[in-house]
Amino acid sequence: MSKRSNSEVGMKKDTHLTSTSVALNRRRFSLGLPLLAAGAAAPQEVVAAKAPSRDEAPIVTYYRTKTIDGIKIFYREAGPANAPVVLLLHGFPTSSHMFRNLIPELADRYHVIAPDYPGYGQSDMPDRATFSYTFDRFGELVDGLLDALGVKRYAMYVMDYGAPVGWRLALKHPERITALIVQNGNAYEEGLKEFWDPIKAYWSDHYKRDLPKVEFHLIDTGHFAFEDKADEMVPLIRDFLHRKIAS
Amino acid sequence: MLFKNVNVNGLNIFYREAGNEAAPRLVLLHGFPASSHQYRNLIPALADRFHVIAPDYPGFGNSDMPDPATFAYTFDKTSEMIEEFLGKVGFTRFGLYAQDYGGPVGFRIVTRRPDWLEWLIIQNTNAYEVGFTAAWDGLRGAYWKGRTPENEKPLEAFLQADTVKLVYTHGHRRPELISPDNWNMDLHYLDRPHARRVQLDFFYDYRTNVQLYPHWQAFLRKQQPNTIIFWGQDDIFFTREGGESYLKDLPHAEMHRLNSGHFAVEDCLPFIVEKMIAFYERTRTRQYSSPDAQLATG
Repeated sequence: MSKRSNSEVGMKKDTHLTSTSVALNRRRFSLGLPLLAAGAAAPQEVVAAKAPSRDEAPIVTYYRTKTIDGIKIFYREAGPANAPVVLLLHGFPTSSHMFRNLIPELADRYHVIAPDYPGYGQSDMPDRATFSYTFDRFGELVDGLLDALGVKRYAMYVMDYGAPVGWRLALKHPERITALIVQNGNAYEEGLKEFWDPIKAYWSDHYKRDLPKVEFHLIDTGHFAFEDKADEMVPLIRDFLHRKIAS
Repeated sequence: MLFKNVNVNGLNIFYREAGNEAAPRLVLLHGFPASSHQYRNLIPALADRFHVIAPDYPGFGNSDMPDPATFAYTFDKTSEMIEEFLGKVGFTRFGLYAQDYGGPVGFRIVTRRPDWLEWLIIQNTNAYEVGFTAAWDGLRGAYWKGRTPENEKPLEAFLQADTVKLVYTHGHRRPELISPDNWNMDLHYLDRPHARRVQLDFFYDYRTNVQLYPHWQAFLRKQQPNTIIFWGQDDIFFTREGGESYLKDLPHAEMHRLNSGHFAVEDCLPFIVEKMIAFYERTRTRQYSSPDAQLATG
């Protein structure tokens, strides 16, 4: 098995090999990628793991809250404070919990922030009589959180509801957005009409029409792609961020 | 990591699994009020080196929870189910990581099947009378002497939201390191029909563990398994003396006193992983014999 060097792992065709090298060599405190599922492993593949090196700080996720406009907003945060920021915006019906495994995969190089919207996860859920549960309002509160944290520029990973929240942030502050990662986040009417094979081409075509330089990856899975395709997605995400926003 | 299910004596047993099938085996047994969810980060961190599984006991997590009127929620029964489970998934020689309830379940299994135990990881699981904090007074002073609705009532507090959260935060130095997913997951499971009754049954049955302490201690003295101990020093349930007591029976054990609480993995994960792997590499070919053959027959 090849050692992962300081340079990023490129996009390998063989996702099994990629996943193995990620799991074994970057850090051991992240995802347990399913070596088991990848088929019977030969005994020589049993690699004696090394203790983590001293100069590599273990990844720690913090579970924090900030009050924005009187509403307690919960967020997961990890990574160096001075690193480029990656904002993770969650989908329905979940919360920042959906990013629990992605966060440590990025936090060695990026300052990762994943909030819960009001009414989701650990954030306050004010009475709907007094609070408007709209995407505009979610966008404002996430914007307020980023202001409170002093975040001036950031990449966004948007998934499902994260997309309409994120698009609002991007329209408001286009100059702040350093890169976009769209995962099952819709922006085209065609995306709502049907679900399976015929529509996949539309998604690709439409994003490509508006984003000629987009990198498009079809992942053979469902809505919460990261749950079972982390091994495939982590190298793609890290490679993309490394080329686009790494300091 | 894989999320699997297997049928054991008609019940669905859920377990998490990761690692290479050819790697040395490791079983992680969970505590109260949790499930294998407490090992969600430890499993992948160990999966480079070990083939790891972590089951949920019946009545916990994603395993079946039959009606307590028809199923005995005792440590004896739980240990029989988990022993059967281990045999079914082919784990008959393994390292055992025992935390809290994981001790009473695991010690029962390995005292019946001493050849199954390769090495032992003890983390805030009790086997000594001096190990109980004052949190146990209601159990030890009244409930275990005769179970009544009156002395059961105050124990229900342990199953309320604030207390469940406290088990995770008490003694842990930085609350912002402890994921709220822990107590939210437990509370979700505790809100199911019968769940609180099931937990009270375990509270009552815990007295049978105390009766077995001398038996388990004698087993440790005789068997001298290679043992590494991680002891959260400010556990809401178990005293520091409870951790130190293992050293009387296991003088070769490696002891790590952690500035942490009951669920030390939550804020000491990298340390625990590093020490576990280093310990295993160093000791896997070493086998101590009993330091005192006289004591060993108990």
